[in-house]
Amino acid sequence: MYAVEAHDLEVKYEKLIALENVSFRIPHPSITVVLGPNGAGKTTLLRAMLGLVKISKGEIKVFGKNVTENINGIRKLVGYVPQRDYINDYVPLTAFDVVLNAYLLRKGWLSIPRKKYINEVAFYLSLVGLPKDAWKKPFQELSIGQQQKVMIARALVLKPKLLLLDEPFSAVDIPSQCEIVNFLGFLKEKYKISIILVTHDITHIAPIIDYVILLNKKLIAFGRPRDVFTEENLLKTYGHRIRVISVKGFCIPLIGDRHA
Amino acid sequence: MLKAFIATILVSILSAIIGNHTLYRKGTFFSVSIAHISFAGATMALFLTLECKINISPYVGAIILGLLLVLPISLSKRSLEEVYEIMIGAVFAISMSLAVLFFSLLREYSVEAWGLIVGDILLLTNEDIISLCIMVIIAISIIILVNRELIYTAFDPEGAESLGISPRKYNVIFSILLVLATVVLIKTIGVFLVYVIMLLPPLIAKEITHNIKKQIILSFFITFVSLNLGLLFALFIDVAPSAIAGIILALIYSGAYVYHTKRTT
Ligand SMILES: Nc1ncnc2c1ncn2[C@@H]1O[C@H](COP(=O)(O)OP(=O)(O)OP(=O)(O)O)[C@@H](O)[C@H]1O
Ligand SMILES: [Mg+2]
Repeated sequence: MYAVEAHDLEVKYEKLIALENVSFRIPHPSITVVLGPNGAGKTTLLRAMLGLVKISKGEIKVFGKNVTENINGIRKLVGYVPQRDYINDYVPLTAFDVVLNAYLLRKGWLSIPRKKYINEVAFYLSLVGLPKDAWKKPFQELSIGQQQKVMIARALVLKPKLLLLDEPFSAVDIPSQCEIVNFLGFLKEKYKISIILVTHDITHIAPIIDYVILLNKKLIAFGRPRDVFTEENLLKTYGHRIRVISVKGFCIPLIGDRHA
Repeated sequence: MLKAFIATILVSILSAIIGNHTLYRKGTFFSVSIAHISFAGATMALFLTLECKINISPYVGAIILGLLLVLPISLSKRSLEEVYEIMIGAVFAISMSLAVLFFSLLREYSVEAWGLIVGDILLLTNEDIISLCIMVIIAISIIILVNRELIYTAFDPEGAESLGISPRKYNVIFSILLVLATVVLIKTIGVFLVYVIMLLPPLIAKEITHNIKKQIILSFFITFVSLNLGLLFALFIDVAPSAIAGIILALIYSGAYVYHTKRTT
């Protein structure tokens, strides 16, 4: 069973080719990291898995189903934590309401918040480890780490089998990063959820990575971290030499601080 | 006077609902340009009616031009902020030029056009009150029906879209609502103050609280009080009540802003 399969995928925004020649197969359940410079098409790849962009060539399948043809079915299987830049701080929703409203939107138009839904929201907020006193606070008053936890709870309340996270660690302090990493590992082990995440810094997540996608408009490499993280591949991805170090047996390319 | 008082209640409801949603969608500048477009549409209708004997109500002219210029753009983008970036270039220039053009053509009859600029809450006709009432009913119904969708597409368009909720669709629904409300309010408040009355109370409320319900209630009362103070003033001095209300709002906003920055630093 594969969580995601791409065959010769191509995505264009009007004339601009954001992705081309992308093929890979991600087994389920697993944790995959997508790496690449700014503008490499990382977000676009996640959006393709969600059916949010038009695919101009090739195909992408999620749990064996073609995304374009089964968009409604796919939406029930995939949870999404967008890049934080997309969140609008002007909307004063509480952490609890961020999760509850997404759940109600999924349940359908004019859904009423039943006791059962409210309990589930509370369950997932506790699961991600958001302290109770933060539940009723406005989302924008939480720390970035807490906000990411809320967004993960929001994705989980929809009970996905595949969780996509776009730069979940950007501007998150190291203790919170480690908490989130441990939690993602726990999700895969306990709930058998596949996770695909985009990041610029893999230092803390290295121990739990199963697969890596190196991307720069084209697929540079896909596979196990030890096979993918070669200086040659990283040079092709980033356009300059990047050293790979080995920490406790995990390969870590030193790219983190070169990107915003 | 009773009509004026009723109008202040209706305007306050519109400000509380539509003004707050405008802020959520970062549509402050967007609403400013809608006011100008509506004004252009209204003066165009006046021109056609008075000079060309083609009878079009200023309301209808404003709505037609407003929807014509606003919808194609709001349909193409996911946030009103992006919409505005396009508007400021082309649409804003056209609408302001059209407004000035028709206004200058109207010189002899400019009393009516003047009414659109300053507005007059004391001279509202029964039809004006009825249009305000209908507008309030439309606004409340839309909010009851799609409040959650409107709020969520504003909060996280990308996430909403992944749930199958199209941000563009709700941008369009909201833009229509905003055009209609602006048009209805122009006669009461005047084109220059429409956005002041619609946006400043929610902006003040936003400085004071981050709770959605409190913001809505607070902005209702702020609009209501400032408009009625304006009316009270107008009893003694012959000035436009909405101007006084605007000045009061500006003062409260400065106060709230100082209070907020003091509290957070
Ligand atoms: N909606 C859009 N319309 C047009 N072009 C777009 C759109 N979204 C992205 N692009 C372009 O497509 C390319 C890939 O964008 P994408 O957001 O997928 O990159 P990314 O790898 O996520 O970058 P970042 O690290 O900055 O998040 C970029 O050149 C970007 O400018
Ligand atoms: Mg991105």
